[in-house]
Parts: sequence; C-alpha cells; structure tokens
Amino acid sequence: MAKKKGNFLKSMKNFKVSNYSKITAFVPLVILLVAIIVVVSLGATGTGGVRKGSYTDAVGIGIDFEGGTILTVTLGEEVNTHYEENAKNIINTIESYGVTVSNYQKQTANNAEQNAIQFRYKNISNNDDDINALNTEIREAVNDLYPDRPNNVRYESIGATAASDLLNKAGIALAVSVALILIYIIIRFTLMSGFAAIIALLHDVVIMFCLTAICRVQINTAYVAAMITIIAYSINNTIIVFDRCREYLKPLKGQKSIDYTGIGDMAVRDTFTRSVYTTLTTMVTVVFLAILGGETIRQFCVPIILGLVAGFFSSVFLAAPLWAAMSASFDKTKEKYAKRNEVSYEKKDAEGEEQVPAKPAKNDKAPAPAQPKQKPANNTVYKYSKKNTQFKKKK
Amino acid sequence: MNKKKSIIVLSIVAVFIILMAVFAVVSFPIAGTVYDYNGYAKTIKLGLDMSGGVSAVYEVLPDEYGDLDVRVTGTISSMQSLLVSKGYTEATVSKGTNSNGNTTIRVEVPDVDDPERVLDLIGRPASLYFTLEQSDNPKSVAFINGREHLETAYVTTDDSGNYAIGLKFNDEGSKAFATTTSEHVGETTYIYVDGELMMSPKINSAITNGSAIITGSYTYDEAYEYATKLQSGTFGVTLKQTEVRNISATLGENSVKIALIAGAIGVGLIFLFMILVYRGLGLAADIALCIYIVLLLWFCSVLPWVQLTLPGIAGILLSIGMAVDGNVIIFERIKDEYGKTSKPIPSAIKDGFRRSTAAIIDGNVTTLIGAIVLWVLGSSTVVGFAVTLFIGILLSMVTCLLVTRLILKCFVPLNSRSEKLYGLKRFEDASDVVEDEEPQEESTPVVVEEEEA
Repeated sequence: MAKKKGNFLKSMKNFKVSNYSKITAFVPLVILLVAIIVVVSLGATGTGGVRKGSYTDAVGIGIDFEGGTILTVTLGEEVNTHYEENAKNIINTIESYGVTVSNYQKQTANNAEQNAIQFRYKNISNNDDDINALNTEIREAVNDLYPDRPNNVRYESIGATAASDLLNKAGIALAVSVALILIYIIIRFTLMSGFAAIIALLHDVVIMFCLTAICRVQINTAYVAAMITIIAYSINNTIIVFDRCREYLKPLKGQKSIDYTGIGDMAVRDTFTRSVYTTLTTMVTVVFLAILGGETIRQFCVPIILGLVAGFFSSVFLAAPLWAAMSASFDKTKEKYAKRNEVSYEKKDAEGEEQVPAKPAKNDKAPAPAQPKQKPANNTVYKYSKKNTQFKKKK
Repeated sequence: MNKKKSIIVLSIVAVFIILMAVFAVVSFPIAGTVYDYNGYAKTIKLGLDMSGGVSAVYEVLPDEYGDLDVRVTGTISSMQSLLVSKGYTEATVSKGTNSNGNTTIRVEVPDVDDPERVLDLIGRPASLYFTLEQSDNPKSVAFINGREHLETAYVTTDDSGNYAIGLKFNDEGSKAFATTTSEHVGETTYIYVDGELMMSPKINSAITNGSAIITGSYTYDEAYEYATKLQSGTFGVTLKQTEVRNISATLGENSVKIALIAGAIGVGLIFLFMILVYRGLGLAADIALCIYIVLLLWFCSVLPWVQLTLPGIAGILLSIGMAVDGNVIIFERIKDEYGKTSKPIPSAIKDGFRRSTAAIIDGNVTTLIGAIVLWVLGSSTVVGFAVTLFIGILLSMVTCLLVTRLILKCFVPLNSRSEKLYGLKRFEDASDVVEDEEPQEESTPVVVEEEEA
C-alpha cells in the first residue's frame, strides 16, 4: 500500500498548485456559503431543536454557554443494574418534546435509594413560563414511565457552566497570538509570508466554525479547545511550506522580477509528501476514536477530522499561491515607489511599504497567478529550476 | 562514534524506555514506608467528562443587602478561581434555580484530591477581622474585614518553616492596612477568624504591601482548611450546602478504555507506517516516539493543572501524530539529499538534519506562541488544555531534533552503506541528478563533516 502511495506522490512531481488556484479559492467560499445557508435556514424556520429566530442556536452554541434544564430521575438501585436501558428510554421520551439531550450521567448518593440519572438539555424557548410549562409536561411524561415510583422526577434550571468569559478570552487569546505569530514570522521570514500565514490561519478559524455549523456540533468548552489545536497545527504546516520558499529565495536576494509563483509551486511540491504523511498520522488516532467511541465522542471527533483536512488544504493549496501573489505585487509596488522617488524625491519609501499589504490581503480570493503573467517580457526573468538551487547554494 | 559506543547508547535508550513503561503501569508498596508507589500513567487525573466526580448544590440564602443577582455572579467567579487555585482546573460552577424557585449554585468537581473536602469547606465560610482591641464583637471594631478587604488566602510557611496562612488584601484592604499599621506602630493587633482570636502580633512597622501571614504552628491540613474557609468568607452571598452527589462520566463509563484502545491502534499504525516508509530511519523515529509517549504521560501525571478531558485526550492523540511530523520532515530531506547528490549515507543524514532544523523550530515556535498565549490569557477552563498542548509541542520538537538524531548517530557506525536499511535511493530521473561540477562542490563539506564525526 505504501508503495502505491509513493507512486501517486511521485506523479505529483509536475504538480503546479498555482494552476488550480481558481478552483482552490472557490472551495472555502462554497463551505462558507453552505454554512450560512444552514444557519440562516435553521434559524429562520426554527427546526431541528433550534429556537425560531435564534441564530446562536443555529450556529450550535451549546448548553455550556447558555444553560438549560437538568432533569433528575430517581431510580434507586436500578441506576446501577439497568443504566443504559433506562437512560435510552427516558431520552426518547424527553426528545419527543422537541428538545435535544446534550448529556446524561449517573448520580449516586450514600443512600442507594436516592441514586438517579440526570439529563441536561437546552431550553427551546426564552420565555420562563413556556420553559416551565414544557418542563412540567416532560416531568409528567417521564414520571408515567415509572408508575411504581411516584414523584421521582424533578427539574432545575441551570445556568452556563462555561466561564462566562471563555469565548471572550478565547477571542482575545486568538488576537494576541495572531499578532505575536505575525511578528515572529515577519522576523524569521518576510513581511508577506507573515500576512499570507495569518490569512491562512484566519481561513482555518472561519472554516472550522462553518464545519461546526454544518455538522451541527454543539459548541462547548471542549470544542473550543479542540479548535485551537487544529489551528495551531495548521499554522505549523504553513510554516513548513514557507520554509522551502525562504530557502529557494535565499540565493535570489536582491533580484528583480522573481518568479514567486514558480517558487511557491516548488515549495508545495517538495513538502507535499510530508503534508500528506503528517495529516495521515495525526488523523489516524482520532479516526479510531470516532469509530470506537459513542455518539458524543463521534460528534466531537468528526469536526476535528474535517478540521485537519481544512488545515491541510489551507497550507498546501492556499498559503503558497497567496504568498506568491502578495510578494509579487508587493515587489511591484515597491519598485513603483522607488521609481517615483528617483524622479521627485517626494515620498518616503517606508511610508509606501506600510500601505501595500492591505491591498493583496483583500484580494485574497482572487486568482493568484494573474500577477506573474503580467510580467514585462523584456525584463530578465530569473527562471527557476532545481538545478539552480543546487548551484546557488551557499555555505 | 564507534560501534561499541553506539551499542551502549542504544542499550541505555532501550532500558530507559522499558523502565519508564514499566513504572507507568505497575504499583507496589515502597519498602520501609507506609506509602504505595502507583504507576504514573494510572495517576493521570481525568476530567468530569471522562471519569465523573462530585457535584454539590448550594442554596443562596436570602439576605437584606439587595442586588442578589450581581453578587451571585461575583460569587460564581470567585468560586471558580478558588477551585482553580486549589488545582481543580476542570471544575465547573453554574447558577441555577431549584424547584422552590430559590437561586442555587451548582459546583461540579472532577474526582481528584478528595473533592468532597473542598466542597464542604466552601459551604462553611469563615470571617476574618483585624482589630486594635480585644472584643467579643470584633466586627464592630475591625479595621480589616475579610469579606470586604481580603483578595485571597493561601497556605504558606513562616520563617521557621511551619505552615501558616498567607493573606493578600485587595486595593482597598491594602490601603486600610497601611494607614492603620503606620499610625499604630508599637501597638498590638488582634486577628479573629470566625470570632476566635487566632493571634495578637505587635505592629513593628507600617505594612504597605497589602499582605500578612497568620502563624501558629498549624499542620498543613489546618492551614489549608483555614485558607479555604477564609476565601469562602469573601463570597458576596451566604451559601448553604443542600446536596452532594457522586456523578458519573458524561461520556459514558468506558470512555477511558475506548480512548486507550483508539490510541493504541493509532500508535501501532503510526509505528508500522514509519517503518514501512522509512525502514531504518523509521525505526529510529519509532524509538524516539516511544520516548515521547512515556515522557508525555509522565508530565501529564506530574503537572497539577492537567486533568484530562475529551479534548485533552484528543490533543494528546493528535500530538502523537504530530510528533512524527518532525521526523517526516527530516527524513524527506535526507531522501532528497541522498537522491540528488552522490553523498554517502552518513553525510546525507547529517545534511538532512541540518537543513530541516530551521523549519522544525520555526513551525513549532509559532505553535508554542499560540499555546503560551492561551495559557496566560485563556479562561481557567482551558488552562489545563493549553498546558497539555504546550508540553506536547515542546516534547515533540525535542525528541525529533535530539533523540532521533542521537539514535541515527548510533545506527550509522553499525551500518553506513545499506540503501535498503535506510530506505534511501539515488534518483533515476535525469533531470534530478546533479551535473558533474556540483558533487565536487558538495563533497568539500562532506569531508569536513566526517572528520567532525
């Protein structure tokens, strides 16, 4: 099997990622669109356990953040002897009222007679009276399941268990780490590498969020943590690609009209095997966790697996073409400013540099290879090939 | 390095892995003491979703101060930080309403370090007063009131090494404490906890840093109890414990077993994959991976913040996959170096390492930045997770850059020629083979490097 894959990877030798940038830029847009459609349609119609008009529900904000109801069913010894059967039975009854049970657990006390199973679900209304009415109905229905145990069901409302600042702080942490990572990449690589890597990172955040909405995963504390891992690994992948770009660029320092697209394609090609292998090795354990685990575990693992694919996608198909396009237009603008300065001595170079990045960043989804093609034919274009790297290598 | 040396090093590595693996799972009584040694992998603490814990419900008693909602919210966040400071990073605190319509606070703590005790102490808040005169009603003459002025209380030691209760005042408290102590130098101050006179030290000089300690040759447990109760005394509302229950894992009883099986299968496949693809190099990576896994488990068991929840375990599983990543980067480089030039295997390996080090460090440092920021800025519930991530990344970087290199260095003297062993091949493709002059250019450093070795 390994051999077959080797052949496939070899056939990638002439693969030029920039040739496909129109298609690859399209994919995240499609995912974004699907996610928006899912969220808007669920939110507007109020189906699938979503409160009508509640877009936080439609996105999948879980009970951790918003709270809901705890229903405690006292069953005594039966909790230990027939836990799963009773739980399934009660869940079916509860869910027939249109709510979704997010988790259930055993509750044991010193007195075994008081042993119980507790169920948590999000309320499907904002009105306290409606919530109480529905909970009373559910309580009666569950109580009817156990005619010989009168009054064994009680409910309590429960607030958010996630620290109220979890999402805020996660947002702040994201912003600060983006800034620090940007600084680090700019120091170690180039300005444009930094921006391209951050765009790829933001792409991962958005896509993870979209996949969550599409897969209907409840966003809880656990999930926020998992998202962070995926994003961290994706930026790692991107850096590996940029490392190759940096290496190929080294002997070309100071050259004009560098074929960035060619370098980007080569960097992707060189690291492709590694990207595939790494994605496979990180994914394999989570795949088995999803296969072997129960429904809750599976719900958690599926978006992680999809997120790994998204991270692979962004670092292989988006980062390098983006970097190439941005670097090319950055060089061009710099040149333009340099020329203007030669004539009029009016504008400072540094000022110009600051303003450039915003432009290509906005055009992020635009076809990347457009710029290099516009290169003036007369200029001495440094054509890039593997031989040159070897030859130009300096100690 | 010669043959003999490399065999010795490899044996040491093997013994280390075997010992660490054995100590991970065995338990035995330690000779001459009453303590038992428990395998460190077994003592890894698990979160609420994996192993359940204890839940307690406190009823908020009505009082005359008004604005209850605001104070309940404040109390919830104080409780959260109290639990985190006691090491229960995965505990959850939430507000609720019980069937009588009273406001309740529900606390759920994973089953580590006797959670019932902490939950009990939270339900028994203690008052703290500093006065300048002895009084039966210290509250009326107090210049420091724990409820208003205390920021936190903790266990510490005094100058002679006895356990003591450390106090840290908030801004207002520090100011009040500084003013009073500077005006009354030489006088005696009385410290009351729960109406009981704990000590009456003399004020030697003005204390402006807003901290104090209460000494009195306590045992650790006593100091811990007082500190926790004092901290509970700062809560804005009065709580009454109404219910304590054991709760089971929300992910089901056998979730830990499932995670272990999935991990074992995944790791097995990774081992196999590395050997099939990279042969001898892969074997070196697998040995390094063994070291990575035992070290990671050890850290998870030792560090107090780590209480593994589902994302934590998923993070560890992902990080095992990620740990071979560095090796894959290095090996692909070695393949490149060997295929494109006519270097001998040892120098191809050496150059492969040299040329991939920057990539590995840069890639991991960016990820580390993310983990550290999350550790520092993230809310308490993700701290444990950030720590796990941080250790995972750091260890994976260290193992691939140092351990794999060491092991390969040991392999080379044993066999430095076999392409088959290392899974290396000169590229056949004409366009990839380097032209005449270049091997010469490349061969200079090769000689130098072999001398170094």
